[in-house]
Amino acid sequence: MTRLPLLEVALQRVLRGTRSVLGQIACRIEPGEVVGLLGPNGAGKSTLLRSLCGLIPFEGKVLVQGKPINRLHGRERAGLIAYVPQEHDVAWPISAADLVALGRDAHRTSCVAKLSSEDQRAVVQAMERMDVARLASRPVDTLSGGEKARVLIARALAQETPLLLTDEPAAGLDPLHQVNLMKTFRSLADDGRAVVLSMHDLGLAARWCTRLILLNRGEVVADGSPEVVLRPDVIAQVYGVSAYIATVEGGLVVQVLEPTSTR
Amino acid sequence: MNPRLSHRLLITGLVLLVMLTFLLSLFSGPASFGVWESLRALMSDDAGSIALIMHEIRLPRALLGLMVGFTLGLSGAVLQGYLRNPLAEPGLIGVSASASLGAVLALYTGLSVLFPLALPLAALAAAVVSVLVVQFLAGASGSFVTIILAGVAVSTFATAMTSLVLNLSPNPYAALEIMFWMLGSLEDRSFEHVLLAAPAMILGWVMLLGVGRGLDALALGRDTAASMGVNLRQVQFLAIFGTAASVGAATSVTGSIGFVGLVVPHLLRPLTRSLPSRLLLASGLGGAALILAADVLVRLVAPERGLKLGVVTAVIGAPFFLALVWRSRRQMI
Repeated sequence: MTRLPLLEVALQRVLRGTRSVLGQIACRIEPGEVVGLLGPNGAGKSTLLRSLCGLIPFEGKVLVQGKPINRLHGRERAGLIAYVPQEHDVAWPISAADLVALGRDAHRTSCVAKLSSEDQRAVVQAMERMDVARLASRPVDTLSGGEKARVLIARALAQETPLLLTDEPAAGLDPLHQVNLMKTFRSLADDGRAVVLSMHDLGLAARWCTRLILLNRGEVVADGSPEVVLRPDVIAQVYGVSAYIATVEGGLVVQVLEPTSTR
Repeated sequence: MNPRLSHRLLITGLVLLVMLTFLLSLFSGPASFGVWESLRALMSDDAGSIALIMHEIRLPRALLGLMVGFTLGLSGAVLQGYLRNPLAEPGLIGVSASASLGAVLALYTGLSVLFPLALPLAALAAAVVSVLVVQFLAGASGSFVTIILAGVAVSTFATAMTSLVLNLSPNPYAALEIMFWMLGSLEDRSFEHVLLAAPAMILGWVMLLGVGRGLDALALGRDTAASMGVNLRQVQFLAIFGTAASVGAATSVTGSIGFVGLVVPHLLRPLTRSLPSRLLLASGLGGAALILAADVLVRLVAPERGLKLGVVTAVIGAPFFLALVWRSRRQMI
């Protein structure tokens, strides 16, 4: 029996209203990958993530472990994919620990919100991974933007799914937590899971992602390892900036310099 | 303290409070007789005047107060969770006023004479329409301002239509009736009213109590909730039709009683760790206690003046509403 890919994408088109936001996109994502979605604002990164999660209608197919995403039952889907959107608004002043525990919702079957010891272990582990254990009893509205972002990612980690989709998780984090976040994603990948994240920080992408997919105007411009995707000509063409790229011990270094004169 | 234990304590405390206010409601009224006498009359089968008053006047009044209060508190908590907005309330977003309109139409077209259940059903239908209109106007994001504006518009229109129908009807007591539908009252209600409203109210409760977990997830936004396996359509259906059924039925027999659904969830939210699922039952019980207490006050303060229940709840509720607006204004800055 051939092993099914974790995520198989063959999108024809994604419409928002009457406007086509994404064109043909085909890719496979396997366990062990940390995939960075790159592209300028409006390139379709968020739309792609929401399509992969089955949150918006699309033409084409998205298969998770061989099953079509839009035909999966909500609970079944929540067992396979966890998703963290770009917006970090939480309606009520829920404590960080309660919020992370919501990530176990998909796994709970009882009507009464009660955490099993297995749930509790997942919650504690997720909070430790995101370095938010000491914030456990704080209501989320008293947290800083970066702290809240980490709590929300911990919520998704607590879901313990084979696939994690996050929309700009590194935005608003300080350098230490950005690096720790990427290391967490890498360790999830080493455990046989996969992470897809959209991002704007090319340096972070170059160093920590195992693979990059570069989008521009709804099309895939480049797909491959950071060395393949992050080339000065590609960056200039898509982002309109020049970049300094060097290889150092432990990976690639990318520094954006200034707008290219061609634009 | 252990969170599960503290939640149980809260619910127990609220149940005791409801029992206390229920008894107080049974013992207050223009005819004064002792507590012991009333209780004995309540339990007995004889047809003495005390027993008659207890069975035919005070018991249905207290029961209705309990049920209507539970409905308003519960639906307020659900609407706030569903619309992700602490200002949502059946009265404020126009559900109560629309239900009143439905009830008045059923009464004055004579439909309720032909078919008694037409009264709660018409109120329910009007309530559904109002929630759908508000939701449509406010859009998917359900922002603070648009919900309130839409609610004010729907509420004002429904109240005006109710007055118009009553003014045009051949009814010498139109002014009094308008007051009843706009402010609400538990006066002169009989067991017939209790039985008429009970089925839809209880159906609504069952629907509303079922959405707690979905509302918890919705606190994180619609997309996240959907990704967590919450069936948003189901939550929407239960929240809207549960509110319409319970508030519609309640309003069809007591008129629209404002502010309870706003104040009670707001007061109890900090005691439930802000989790919508934990707030639902607590808020229902709190609403029941508040209505029963307000109804005792109505009879204590101005027994002969026919003070309307909605007046008392608004006197308590309006300052809370102002404080809430004040606080959210500061947060927005």
